[in-house]
Amino acid sequence: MPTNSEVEMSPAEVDAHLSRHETGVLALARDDAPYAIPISYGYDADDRELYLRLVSTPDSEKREFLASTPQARVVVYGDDDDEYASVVGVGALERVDLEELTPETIAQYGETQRPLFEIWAADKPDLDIELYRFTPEKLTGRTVVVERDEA
Amino acid sequence: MTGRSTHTFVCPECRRSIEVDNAMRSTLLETGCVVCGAPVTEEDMGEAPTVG
Repeated sequence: MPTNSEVEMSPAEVDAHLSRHETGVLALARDDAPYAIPISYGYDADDRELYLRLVSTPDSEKREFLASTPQARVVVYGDDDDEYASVVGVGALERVDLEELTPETIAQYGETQRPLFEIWAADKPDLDIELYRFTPEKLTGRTVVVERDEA
Repeated sequence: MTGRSTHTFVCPECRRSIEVDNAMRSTLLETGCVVCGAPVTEEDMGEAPTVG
């Protein structure tokens, strides 16, 4: 019978996990309606913030959930053999205005994996691509090691 | 008072335009368009610098 050992990550381990991965899940809500999508992101370990590009078309539901700096959760998880690790961040998702860009912010987005909108049917000028910054108020992680019995 | 020199960057792929100073301009040339990530060249930076 397999047994699990669960360990909470240290802040440094959380930073390492987020720096090692490039994709996760962004969860939003509006009234009783949930909304969750896969995202690509870049992680600034110094400020502990995630940078992401969100792509939508004029008729997509995504825009309805992104209005006015919503509260959001981001989950980044992965597994390596019998070790499962996950980080959950809870905080505000803020749109980055192009007029507020700095060289440092531009460099940060340069290190952010582009979302896979290349597979979209629409051309890039027809897509609404917005820059966002996720600033977690709470950022925690757990590692679970599954110890399986030898057969 | 001396204003900083700015250029109007227009991405050749997503067509978003951004006013950039010299530092931002250099970073964009290294990293690509901040919005869509497309490669950027000097030609995308606009010709006439303006003083802001």
